[in-house]
Amino acid sequence: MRIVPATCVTFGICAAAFAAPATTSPPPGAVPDFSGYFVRVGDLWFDALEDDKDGKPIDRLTVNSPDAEDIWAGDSANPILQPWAREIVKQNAEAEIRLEHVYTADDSCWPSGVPQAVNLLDEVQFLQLKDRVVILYRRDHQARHVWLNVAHSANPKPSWYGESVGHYEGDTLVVDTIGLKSHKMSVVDPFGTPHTDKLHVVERYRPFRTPFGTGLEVIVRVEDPGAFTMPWKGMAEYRQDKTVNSFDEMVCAENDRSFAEGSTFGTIPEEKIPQF
Amino acid sequence: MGRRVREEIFTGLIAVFALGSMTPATGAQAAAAPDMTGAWSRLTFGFEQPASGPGPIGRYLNRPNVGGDFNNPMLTPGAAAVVKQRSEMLRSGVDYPNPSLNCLPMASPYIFRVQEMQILQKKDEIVFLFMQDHQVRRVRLNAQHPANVTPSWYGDSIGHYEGDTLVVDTVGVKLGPAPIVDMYGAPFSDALHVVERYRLVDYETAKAAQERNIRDAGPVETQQAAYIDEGYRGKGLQIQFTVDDKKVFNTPWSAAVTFRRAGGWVENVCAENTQEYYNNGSTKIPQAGKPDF
Repeated sequence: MRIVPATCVTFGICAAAFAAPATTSPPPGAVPDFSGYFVRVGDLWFDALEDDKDGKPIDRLTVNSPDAEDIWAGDSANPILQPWAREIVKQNAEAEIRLEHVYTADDSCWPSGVPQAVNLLDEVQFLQLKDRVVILYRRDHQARHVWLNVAHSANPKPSWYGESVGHYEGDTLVVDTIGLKSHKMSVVDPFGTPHTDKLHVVERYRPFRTPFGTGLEVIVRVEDPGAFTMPWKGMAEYRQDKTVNSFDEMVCAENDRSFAEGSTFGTIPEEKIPQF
Repeated sequence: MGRRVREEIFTGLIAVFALGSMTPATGAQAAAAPDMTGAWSRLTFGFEQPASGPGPIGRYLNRPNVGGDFNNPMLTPGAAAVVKQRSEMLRSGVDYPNPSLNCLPMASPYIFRVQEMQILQKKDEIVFLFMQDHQVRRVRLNAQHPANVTPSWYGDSIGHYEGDTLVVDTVGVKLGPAPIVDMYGAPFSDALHVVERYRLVDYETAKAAQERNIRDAGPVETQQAAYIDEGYRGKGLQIQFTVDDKKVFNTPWSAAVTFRRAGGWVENVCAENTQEYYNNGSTKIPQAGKPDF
């Protein structure tokens, strides 16, 4: 079974027949355990890997400002950026420094996309079935499907979450995603770094145990010759939160936060005279 | 957007191998828990009438596109007024606000208007994914409702298996700006209580039920429809549900929806709004003649 974008309307043209439903769990000891709920820790952007030959992810600029905490400006000097992408990251950074927030997809209640979904702060849950892993994000109840042990389709139709296939390599879940929709507001990181429809992301999720609890290391490798001069890698971490046993609802369209006062989003323009 | 969380960097890496967490109920219940895992589709928004007893309020004058029957004696006076208002909006060519148009979560049973659903069965929880706006609903198995339920969009849902049937009980549904319980514009109150019974049915039963439902309620007319795997001849899924809401209905009522295996999972993002209902006149958006800023 493949993800079918909403424009796919006619039976027979669309994706292959649905696979038989999974009826059993993987055999004992065969796969790593992602049960529970995980929260993102560390910086909410990708950290660079040391001693790695691939490029480094866009880092956050250090800004000397009383509002520095709220300024999410990316470093456009990073050599991974194609010129047009560099210009966008630069403009975004300049806007942020002016305290004019740059809106991205999840600000508008659109999917965060891949790999930016890895940078969402709120809880994540991995539901492991025999033939797929469903990754649930508390932020606006987003859901990704990773189909296990299958190949990509020949020409996946672009979609917000793309087409993800995966497999286990020992203690690691490897997720390979293509077919990601390129949109004026789709980004690969919180700095508004754009991408094209050539985006290819490989994520490697590996749980690990420490005296402090279970962690989850995520390494993403991003290729997109349309936007980047070279592949780049970044790392993120989650920590299992045992105080969480279910998601609280988080509904983006409810928009129960007030952006108008005291935020970096700027003053919302208001009409002086009603026109209707 | 967001905030930065500082944590200690973990030291020491120890891989953990364990069983996968997705299994039907284990132990003595393992043989009894029916396997409903997977994606299911239906091709109409409407509900099926129950075999007996009161069903949904139905359409005004039994005509399409005119809203619900506000004269139905099942409705309390206040609820009848709401249905009438919504019906009159429809007849004037304007859609009334509802969760589907406003990208808000849909409570049960209104959520069964969504054409595609995935069921993910865990030992202590069932997770339902719905195609429309990637909604997620959770049912805690073999649990109790809290004494004081905090209202939420999907309410507090608990479930258990009775032989071949999954029973889901939901209370504590938040009202939101446009509470709607069915396709006819009937509202709900904080007293809403819904009991759903899920059961696998044979292929012929499922097919006949869907065809009857489409004849009665009309097919889905949207480009974002899911589709059935017509080649699949295995079981279908039928959900019979009862709605009890004393502030809205003078009597509980029941209905059903029947699903067959889905042909593919459809990505549907409400906020993207690819349908442009407004251009078709479904809802006329007022426009300013000149920019003011």
